[in-house]
Amino acid sequence: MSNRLIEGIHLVKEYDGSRVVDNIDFWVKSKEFLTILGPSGCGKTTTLRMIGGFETPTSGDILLSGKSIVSLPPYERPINTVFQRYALFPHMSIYDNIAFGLHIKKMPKSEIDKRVSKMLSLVNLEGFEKRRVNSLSGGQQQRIAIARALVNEPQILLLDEPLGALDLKLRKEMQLELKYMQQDLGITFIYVTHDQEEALTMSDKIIIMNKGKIQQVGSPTDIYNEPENAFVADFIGESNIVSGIFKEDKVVEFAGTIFPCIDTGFARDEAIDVVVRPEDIEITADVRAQLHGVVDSTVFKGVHYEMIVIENEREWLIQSTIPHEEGKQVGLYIAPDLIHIMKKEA
Amino acid sequence: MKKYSAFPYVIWTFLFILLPLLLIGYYSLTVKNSQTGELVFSLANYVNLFNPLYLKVFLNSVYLAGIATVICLILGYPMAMIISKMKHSQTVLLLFILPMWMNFLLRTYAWMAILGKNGFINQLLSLFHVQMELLYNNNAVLLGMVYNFLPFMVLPIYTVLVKMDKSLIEAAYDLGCTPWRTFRKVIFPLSLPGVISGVTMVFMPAVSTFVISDLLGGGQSVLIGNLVQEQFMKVNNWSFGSAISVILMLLILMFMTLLHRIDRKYEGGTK
Repeated sequence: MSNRLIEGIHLVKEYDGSRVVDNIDFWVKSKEFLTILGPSGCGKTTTLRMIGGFETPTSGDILLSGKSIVSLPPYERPINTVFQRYALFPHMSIYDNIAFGLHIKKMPKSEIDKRVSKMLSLVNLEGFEKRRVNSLSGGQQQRIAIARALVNEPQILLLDEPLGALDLKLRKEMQLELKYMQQDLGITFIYVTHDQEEALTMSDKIIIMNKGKIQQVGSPTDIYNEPENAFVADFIGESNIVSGIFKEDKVVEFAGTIFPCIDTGFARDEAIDVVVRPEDIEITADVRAQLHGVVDSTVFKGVHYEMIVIENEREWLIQSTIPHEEGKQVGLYIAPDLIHIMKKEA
Repeated sequence: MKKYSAFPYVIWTFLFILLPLLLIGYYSLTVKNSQTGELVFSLANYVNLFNPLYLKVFLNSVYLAGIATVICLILGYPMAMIISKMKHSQTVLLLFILPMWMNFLLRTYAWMAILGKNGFINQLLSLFHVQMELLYNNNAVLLGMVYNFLPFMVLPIYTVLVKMDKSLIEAAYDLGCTPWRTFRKVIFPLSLPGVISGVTMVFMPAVSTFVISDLLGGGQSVLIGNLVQEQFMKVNNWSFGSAISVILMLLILMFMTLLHRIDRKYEGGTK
């Protein structure tokens, strides 16, 4: 318990009778980078807003270092937020924006000056003190918003899709910078996004949410390699999901074929879902081929080719560096350790 | 094409704005020769204005309009704020503006009926054997101004508040501001453009009104507007009336320049 910095217990949020957040439990360790990942409307932003104090949970509790903070208003929580649209004060200079929280705390001017310039150098915007908010680009405003939150040295920094409005290249840069800042400053980050790649790049731990419920909690590699259900598998990267039957330990049947696998622990003849990542299917002509089909389309994607192979009216999405022409008969092989078996969704 | 489409507007501006202004300027700089009836160039009208009697009227007008504006702001700002936070704010706002659909004169006459000697309030007071002189003084004029012009204060402030980015308010809370400090440091400064247009829209008609002071002031409370009206309609001295109008215009111009300065200091505002 003691290493849990913040903890949500049976959190529920209802709006007009509909449950946006449906009884979730989670906890974050100190200095951890947690990402709440999910499609829009899954309740991730509402969860973040409850931690920040902008929404009151319908029921449940939020503990910070073991003490309930549910009844505290936002301005009494040692938590700061980086808002989706930055929310910089347009009537203040950059200096005043960053110094805002420190002014409120009545910190001496010399100390504020020192901290503001330190923050500006952290976000690589030295000398921007006197600039106006409107004269900054989106990327620069984003950095200022981060600086304005971090300067208060919060115990937890909440980030609500902070990179959503930036272009791809800038976003990738900022992802790495954010991760670096988080490790450097040793502050706990709770990050909300719908971008699975962003989540996999930055997080120590990912919570995947859908329809107000937590689908899976785990490290990026756990979630990518061992999705617990079809939703997670589908949401994290592209995958082939087919239904199958668990024959016995390490043997599974799908697509009318028996495959060796490495999973155990399901009931004999239990109906299950099978996930195979597109890069895990090998196109082969030799005897190892387990399935046979026809290449339906081949698209060049830069690093690899993306092909769709039709086998018995089933589509298999395959990524490979070797292209195969459309209409060609091919064999497919899936190695036992690349077959993931999941409980079937009710 | 675009240039030509502005043409009717140019004509309109010239005929109904520029020309009358020039005429007023011309009249203000002339006096009527009492024998020939000819208009002769003279600065007499402006010199006349320095008569303490007229200066007092000017001061009284600015004073009353200023007080009315301040009262409108004190009443209107919280009102706009409360309405902007309501669930059905559009409907509430409509209800609030609804009385404005009635004729301005009618509404002012209604106040006469309420405040008059045998009016509603005095009838109530008579139950306690008290009589009060409520009509025909500065306070009655002030009441009329506040009542008639309050919506002009509420509307622009409401618009700014409704459009304000709510995440800015949340950001202030997030950074440690109590609700009161959030208001002082973020909400009010950001709503200044609305406050300034509200102040302008109340002060201008208030400083130049003559109907309100006529009906509720009843000659006891003379404003610039009454002076102008008198010169044109009763005394038939268009030249002096024009001179007063010119000074009134300059007064308003000065006031607006001042407000503009304040506005510029807080540029940015809502998005």
